[in-house]
Amino acid sequence: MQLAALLWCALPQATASAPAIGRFVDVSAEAGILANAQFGPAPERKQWILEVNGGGVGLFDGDGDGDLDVWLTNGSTLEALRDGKPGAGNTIWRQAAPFRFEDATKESGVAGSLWGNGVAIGDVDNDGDLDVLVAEFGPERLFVNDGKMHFTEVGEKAGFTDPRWSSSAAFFDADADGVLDLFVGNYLRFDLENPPPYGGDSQWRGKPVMRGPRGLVRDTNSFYRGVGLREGLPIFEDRSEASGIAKAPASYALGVTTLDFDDDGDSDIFVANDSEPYFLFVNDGKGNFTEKAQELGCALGDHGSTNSGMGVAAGDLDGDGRFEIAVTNFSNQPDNVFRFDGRYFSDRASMLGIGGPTTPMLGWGCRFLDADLNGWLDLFIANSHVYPEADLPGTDTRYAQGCQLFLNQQPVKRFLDASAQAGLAVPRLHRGAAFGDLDGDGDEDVIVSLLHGAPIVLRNDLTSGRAWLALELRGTKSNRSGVGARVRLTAGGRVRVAEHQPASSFQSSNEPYVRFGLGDLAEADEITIRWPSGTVDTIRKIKTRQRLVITEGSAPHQSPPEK
Amino acid sequence: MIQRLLSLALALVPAAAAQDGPDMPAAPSQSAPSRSPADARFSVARQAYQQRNFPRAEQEGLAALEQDPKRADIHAFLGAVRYRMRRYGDSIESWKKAVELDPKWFAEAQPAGHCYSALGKHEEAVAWYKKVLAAKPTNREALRGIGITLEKLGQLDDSEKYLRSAVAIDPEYAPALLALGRTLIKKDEAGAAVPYLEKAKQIDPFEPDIEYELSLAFRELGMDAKARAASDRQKTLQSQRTTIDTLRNRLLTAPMDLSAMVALADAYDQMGDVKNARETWDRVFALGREDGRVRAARAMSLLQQGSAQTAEKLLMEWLRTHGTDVPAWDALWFVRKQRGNVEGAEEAAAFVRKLAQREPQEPKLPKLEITKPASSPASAPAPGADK
Repeated sequence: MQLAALLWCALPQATASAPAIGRFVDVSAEAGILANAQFGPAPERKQWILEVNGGGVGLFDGDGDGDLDVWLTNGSTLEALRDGKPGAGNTIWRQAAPFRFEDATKESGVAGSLWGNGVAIGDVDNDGDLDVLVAEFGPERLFVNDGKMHFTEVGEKAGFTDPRWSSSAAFFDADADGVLDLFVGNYLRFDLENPPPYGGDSQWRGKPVMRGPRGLVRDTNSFYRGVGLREGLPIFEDRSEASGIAKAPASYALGVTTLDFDDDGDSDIFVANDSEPYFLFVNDGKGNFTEKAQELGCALGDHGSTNSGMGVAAGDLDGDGRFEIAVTNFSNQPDNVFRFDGRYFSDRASMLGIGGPTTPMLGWGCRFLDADLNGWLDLFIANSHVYPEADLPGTDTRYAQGCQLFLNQQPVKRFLDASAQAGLAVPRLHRGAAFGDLDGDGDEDVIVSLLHGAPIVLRNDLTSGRAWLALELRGTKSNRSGVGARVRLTAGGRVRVAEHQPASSFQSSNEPYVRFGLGDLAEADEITIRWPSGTVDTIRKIKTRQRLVITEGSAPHQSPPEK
Repeated sequence: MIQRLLSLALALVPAAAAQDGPDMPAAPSQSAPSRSPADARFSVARQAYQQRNFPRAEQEGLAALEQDPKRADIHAFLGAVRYRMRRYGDSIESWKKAVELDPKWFAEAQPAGHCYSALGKHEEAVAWYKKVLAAKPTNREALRGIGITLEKLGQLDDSEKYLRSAVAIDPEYAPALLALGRTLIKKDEAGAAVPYLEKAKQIDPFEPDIEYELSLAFRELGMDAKARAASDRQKTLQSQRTTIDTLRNRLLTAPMDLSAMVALADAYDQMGDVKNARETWDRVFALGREDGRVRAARAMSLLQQGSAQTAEKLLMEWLRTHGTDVPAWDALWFVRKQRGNVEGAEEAAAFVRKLAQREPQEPKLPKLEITKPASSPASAPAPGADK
């Protein structure tokens, strides 16, 4: 065990009393996002597993006006899906003013989904605007943006014809050729004509419940290589087998993100599988992957437990320059926080004070965000159960659950559960969650999709006046979105490391910026960006409290970067 | 694996008593109460517990309490039953009531600590375990439970202290040896952990968690080949345990589901866990004592393990007294065919033709479908949960 890990164990455990913090304020009513999520006919009756996962949220600047707009996926009913009838469909919400959204669905051309699940966002044609992929029950749909939030659906022409149930997806540049590739997590085989019967021997806590995922057929995942434009359209080729992705055992994939966990300059893939060991696909830099989660210690939770992974987040919690990975999972399982010591991962959730409070909860969307801008990443989790039967006596949990916020108490290596204090304990059927600064005040706000009904918009009022810095990355040799760029920021005597990957949480895509909380610092000393192409840019003496656009190659590094 | 062969009519087989019910909470030293209406119901409840029919045990226990709500022993019993049913909150309430009525019950009340821990309430668990240990310092389950919980809280020195006490009290207590090994690994003392884990493995060779911790220890020690081997074995055992846990869970709610019991016995066979396989097959035979398909299933399981001769012997013994049992003749035909005994196979086939007017059927050995509910954990997370 490394010294850092020893310190991790040895430092005092208890935290002081909760610091005075503000709240996440529910501004849903004013925000006006009136999308009506529909995953099955009603929340109180969940007959099939198809009806319980809900949809995702995408935050991006769709129209190039500088603020974040919102993409929401939506489901349907099994009957409608079986009959090939359109579902409720995607919706898109233009932010007209801070926390004021207008329905732009009709004019934007985003309709057409039968049953949407996850959303992945990236500039697939490198034209400077962000495009959107929806992981569906059925072939993925790719919506190409004209820069003004008018979309053309080109999924089939782009190469997406796989009819399987895909859950989460992530754009990234696996082979560093400057064109985004795509990983798609596939959940399971669900026969619409013969849906698995409710109840019978499918019991939970002695109560009949909907069936799955166990007992239903597992699936392998997909990897598509972006090969560039053909007749103006982005083209993807299915390299699931050739890349090694489909060689991993079939499983039940839900949450997905990419990260360069081993800091070797390429993006690896972490997959939270439901009821099965997690996957970590290690990239050889050329887009060939080997699944090594068990070997590296992040397939199973603490004590070797197999968990039911849902959402996933990655970030450097302890400032050692390496990324931790959080996975939300089922009730009666603590969520996982895998710490990487440079050689292996180990699940530290319980020791961090996160395992206990997350045990009764069933977690979905999540994010390492610096909620209070104090310079240390905190953890936000959106919860609720899959079974309406959770409200029956004797389950030790509930169907509707609150969100949770765990504040990083550095230098004490234990997180503080500030959920109630932050106003997050309101029970609802939370699912996907996307995080981004909706009002330009520097901290990340949250939009959480619900299984049924309109999403919740939470304005972050935890602190005011603290410093921050957000980076909007524009690749030139690298992919235009800068996905996979690794940023090293030096300020106030500390080095912070982050990586640009919007796809994480659960079926969701966060704001397309790299954001740092900086406490009371007026200036950052240095920012070094290692782009996927290998280009390194360094800029110095940067004023805080701004969103800075950095174009690849515009600030070439003068000396070899330090790791 | 042999479900399809058997599943159709097994549910109709008359019930018989299970052989290996878990221990009920032992009463702290007190004289046996006199016979009363509550005792009568309690007796039925205890019998149901022995048969692992926990829903019935709870029902009868509650009925007994209606007769006499002040009976601490019945509250404690309900606490144990609900713990087995993984109704942790309810179990805690029952235990609280028991110790409130008679504090002597703290001595046996460690399941409530396990429940707190399973609910993620680690601090409450530690506080409860301390009360149990105050009442009975040698309670090895409580020592193990508090050790595991303190390890989760990162209080590794205290964890080690309690776990060493548990091991000192019972050096053969594999769960405590495992927990001590785990704590030592987290203390960066992998070398010290290995002997405890190896000993735990000797005692409980089919426990995947032991292999998991061994893989971590070997990895820390740079013994990569051993780490890989332990990791591979963990995966295999875990997969088998998932099947076993699922079947055991099913039997919790349907204790007379013979097809689940057959599948469980088969799973133990495939795992090589002779003791549990034998015990479970005994239960299967007790439940389906006049059903040839049970014998056929056992024979198929033996065949899969490579014990074809034993399989044939089992079938022959059965057919000596049940000569018209077609499924057994089918199985015998198949076993003999597999052994290359063409003549013998034809002899069995002739019986099938004569009795059933059809050709013998090759027994189907589909992989057992595990229809565990979505995302429920494969094993009870509580320390002390039986595995």
